[in-house]
Amino acid sequence: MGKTVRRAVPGIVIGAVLAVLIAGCSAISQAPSVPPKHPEDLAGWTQVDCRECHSDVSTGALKPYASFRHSTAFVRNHGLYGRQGQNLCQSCHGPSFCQGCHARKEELKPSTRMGDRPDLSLPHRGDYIVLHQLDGRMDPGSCFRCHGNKNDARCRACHR
Amino acid sequence: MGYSNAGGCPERRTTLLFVAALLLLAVTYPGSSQATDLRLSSKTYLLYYERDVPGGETQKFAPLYEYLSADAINISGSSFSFHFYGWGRQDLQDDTGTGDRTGELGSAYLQYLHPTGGGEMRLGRFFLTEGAAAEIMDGVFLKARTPLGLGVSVFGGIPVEATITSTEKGDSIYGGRVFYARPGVTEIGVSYLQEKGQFQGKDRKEIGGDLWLRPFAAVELIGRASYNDATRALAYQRYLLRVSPVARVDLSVGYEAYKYKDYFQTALNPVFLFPTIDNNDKVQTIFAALDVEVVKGLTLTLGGKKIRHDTEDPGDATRGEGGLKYVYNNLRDAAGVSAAVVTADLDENAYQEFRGYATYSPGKWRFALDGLTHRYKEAIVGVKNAYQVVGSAGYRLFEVLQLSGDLTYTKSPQFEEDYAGLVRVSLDLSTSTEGGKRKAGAGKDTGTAAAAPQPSAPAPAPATPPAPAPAAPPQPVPAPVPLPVPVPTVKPPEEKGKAAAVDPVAATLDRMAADIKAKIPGARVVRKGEILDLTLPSDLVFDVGKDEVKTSARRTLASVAEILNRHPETLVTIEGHTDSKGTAESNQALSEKRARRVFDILVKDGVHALRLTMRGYGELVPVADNATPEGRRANRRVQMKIRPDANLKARQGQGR
Repeated sequence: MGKTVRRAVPGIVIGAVLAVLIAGCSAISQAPSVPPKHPEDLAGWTQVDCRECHSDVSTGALKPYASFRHSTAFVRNHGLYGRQGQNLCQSCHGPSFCQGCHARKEELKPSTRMGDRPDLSLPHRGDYIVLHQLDGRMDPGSCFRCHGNKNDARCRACHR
Repeated sequence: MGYSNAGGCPERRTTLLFVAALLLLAVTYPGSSQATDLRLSSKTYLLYYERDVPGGETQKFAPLYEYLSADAINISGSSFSFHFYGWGRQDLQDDTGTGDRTGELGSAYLQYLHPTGGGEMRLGRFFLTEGAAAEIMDGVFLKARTPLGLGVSVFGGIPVEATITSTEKGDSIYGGRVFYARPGVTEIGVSYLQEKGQFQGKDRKEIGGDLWLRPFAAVELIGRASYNDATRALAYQRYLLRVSPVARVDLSVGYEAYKYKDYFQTALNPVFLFPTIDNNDKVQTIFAALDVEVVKGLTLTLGGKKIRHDTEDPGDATRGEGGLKYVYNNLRDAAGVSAAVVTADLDENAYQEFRGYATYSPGKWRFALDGLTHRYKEAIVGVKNAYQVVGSAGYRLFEVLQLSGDLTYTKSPQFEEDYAGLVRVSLDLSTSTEGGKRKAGAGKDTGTAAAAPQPSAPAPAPATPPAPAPAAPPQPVPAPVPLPVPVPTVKPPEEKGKAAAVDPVAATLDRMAADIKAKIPGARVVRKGEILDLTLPSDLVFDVGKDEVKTSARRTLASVAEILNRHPETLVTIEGHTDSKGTAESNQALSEKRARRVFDILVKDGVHALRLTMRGYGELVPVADNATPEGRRANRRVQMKIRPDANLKARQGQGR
């Protein structure tokens, strides 16, 4: 127990310093953060493009809204954007949106849950149990990002 | 909700965390619920499918799933929010006798977001993507940014990305990121992640680098690299160059590289560490994608990638793809076709994919059809083609509740002839203490387009010019110059039906009155025949004697704009009125300026300028006694007189 506490000390110190930094820096900063929820509700079933209303640079995400246009390039590389901050995504999508696909253990494919939304870019459409053998041989890294150390119950059914 | 049968200690911890989180929510929630935004989404799925097993037997399965996400945002008006996400399954039928029930707590955490400066804290279970980390953890996350652009974040806790074999989870995870950001130009970060555990006998140690650079307005470079400190090698890199010379075009090229033994060292899943695979293999991929909005609503997508391996097996592969997507029915529906061709050094890796889908949403109904086929170059268990068709039909019972059902047909190397059914109940509730509900399709057609440089067609003028000025207004302000804002052309379908049954003018104005009462506290609204009179007290919108709109009133005016846009067949006169303090001249000037300010903001918020006229009346039209403070307060006001346009009037004629 004592060892655990000793090990946690540096973390607590860093955390305290950061807490002070958050309070201090945020207090003197004038740039509004991304709000936790988009001020207007956005209809869930429609195609929304930030650029309809925003043409500037987000003071919170520090990138132009145009960067977040949900084009093919964005959808396939959204992880690159996400690793520099999730708040802008969460403002419209809600924090649970990521975990609809990036789950710890998930039994239903997103395309099954959202079978009424063929317009969305969802992974593993069709009989992917078969197709993953081909895609997986060619690019196992594409599997690894989501199934490397989580959400692998289905993998382990065969790959023991 | 019961948790996994695979569970042991971690699941008990999960349950405890869940209970603690709910308690926290219960403690923070009551008292001032008006100021808390709540968002709840419940999706219930009942599946049914059958599986043939060797011996000619057929097994039936009927799992019932519940996915729940709930957010309490800005609890009691504070900067704290609470987020929850989880799902559970109960098997109504399972002929294998296994299963029964399971579930997962995805996240349950308290979040603090400082209103300025981007400072953030999370406590509980959350999914974090930050530099090298893309993890679910029970722990804490802190992030701060200095006004100079330098920032730092740290996280620590217990990882919960456990695989189904719960003993293989790590026992602690921590790390952080140092970054520099210059708004609109660059963000660059260096990060570290350490997870204690059994990753091929070692701890997981990753050093990450991330970069976003926008050297020109239309060009972005984004990428990340990860160094595996346990194998002492660069494990993964991905870079993307994205060019968008005009808003309708998004072109990107990218490069990705990883080496099996370095990238997969952190895997807990054994499939990535097959002894039969040469783990010295390195994969390099070059990829490109192009999106072009050919005409409004129609997008052409082209893409391709070349995957290169260092080893002969699996060899190289090339994928080319193209597709068209059309969005219609006021952005509610979409249809698309796509094709992809994969060629490979080894035939076993080559295939083609063709897909087509369409949705159709008349009124409260929604239908979708999706067909997909795969053609393998080399037969898989004697089968060369696979098909899947998904048909879906849904009905919106209430604004917040939708019922739908899917039927899926699959024919593939795995399934000879397979039918699977799904019934879906979606409940979406949300309360909002700010802003209104954005109507579907409000964006391109009626939205706040002022800031968006869209290539929209010139706005058609309303059927009639704004009504002439009332009798002898003092110093009427000249009619404003129309601004190039798209005029609303699409009317919400439900209005057409309802309005035809009764007097469409009265119905429209009454609906607007109801909306105003619901959305704009402090406003007074009265319908006098065919004119709806909306009064905003000046003190709500302006500081005394000033013509600058208060920051706090921007939202009020945005709500007004939204309501006006929801009812596009109306015209509005904006009137500025003052009390009698000060000189008549100064009051006249002030009232004109104020009317102009409101006009400008409504236009900026997307109301077409041709629908608006404005006048300043100074102190000349009091509604109360200027001798008392109450009377003067009542006289200081912005009035909006809303009346039907010629189209709405014409429909009134037809209806009678």
